[in-house]
Amino acid sequence: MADYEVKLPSLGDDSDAPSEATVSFFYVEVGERIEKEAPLAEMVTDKASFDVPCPVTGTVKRLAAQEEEVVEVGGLLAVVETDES
Amino acid sequence: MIILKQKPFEELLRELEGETNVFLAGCADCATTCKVGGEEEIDALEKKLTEHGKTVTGKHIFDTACLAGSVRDGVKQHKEAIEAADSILVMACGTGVQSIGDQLEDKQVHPGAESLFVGEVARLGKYAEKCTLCNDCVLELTDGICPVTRCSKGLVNGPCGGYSEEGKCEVDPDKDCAWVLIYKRLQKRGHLHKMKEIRPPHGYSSHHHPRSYQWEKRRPPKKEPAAP
Repeated sequence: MADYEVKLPSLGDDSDAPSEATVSFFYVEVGERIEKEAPLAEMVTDKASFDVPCPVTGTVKRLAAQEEEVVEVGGLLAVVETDES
Repeated sequence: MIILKQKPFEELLRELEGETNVFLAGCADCATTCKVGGEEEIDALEKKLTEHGKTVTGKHIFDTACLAGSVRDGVKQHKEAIEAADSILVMACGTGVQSIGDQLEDKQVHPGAESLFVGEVARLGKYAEKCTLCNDCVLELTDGICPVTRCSKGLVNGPCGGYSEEGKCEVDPDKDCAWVLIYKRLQKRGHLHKMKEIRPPHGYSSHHHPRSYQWEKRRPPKKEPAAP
């Protein structure tokens, strides 16, 4: 088993792409199983909402942000304990 | 659109009294359309302030000064120039001023414009209020002319009786009586029956400030725990 840090990905290459997003809600709770590519959190910017998919299969170990918290691109959203060793 | 007008330059100088270094903020949305806080106006203001002994440490036209995320991004981009300034002069609406000010707790923010109303741009330099954001819309009954905004008395059940033969308002003879406009439109469209509908007193209860509105989150329903 290994811990995988899920971070907020880049929101675009344009110079005016947002550098942050707000956590709307998490689809999962701590201790819950999550499959690879399943939505982990809904994020919102000034003009759009989008889901951040979980890049690995595993168990949610920690949610690193609160709902309505602003997270920078690259900022930690959650830690998932993967099934891989 | 928020209709704005720039404060007189003398007033801006009074706001900046005792300060030397200033950062100029504009807005690429309403303030640009109203020629208050676009690139042209910010450049002109920089020149004028410099002539009056001020140092402009930097300037930025926010994409939309009332979008908090956009403001945070702009503030980050100009961190040093903002830090070097005694204050920020914001050429945008009151919401923009506060949105920027809320990101800069330790920095004085000055309003550089008056926010007049939400209005239609008839053409550059000519603006008209069409909606008061009352949250009790009657436009369906009036075929798209708002008496709450365009009638001087805000009447919702027909004219007051003081309009002139030419259909002008008794309060302001330069303005059309909203109810004459409504009647003519309803007549033209064969909708005069709408005039017979009695509207309840207009609701202002939702006008308590500050108003806010938030979408309900599309949170998925909780999963049932797996059977043992």
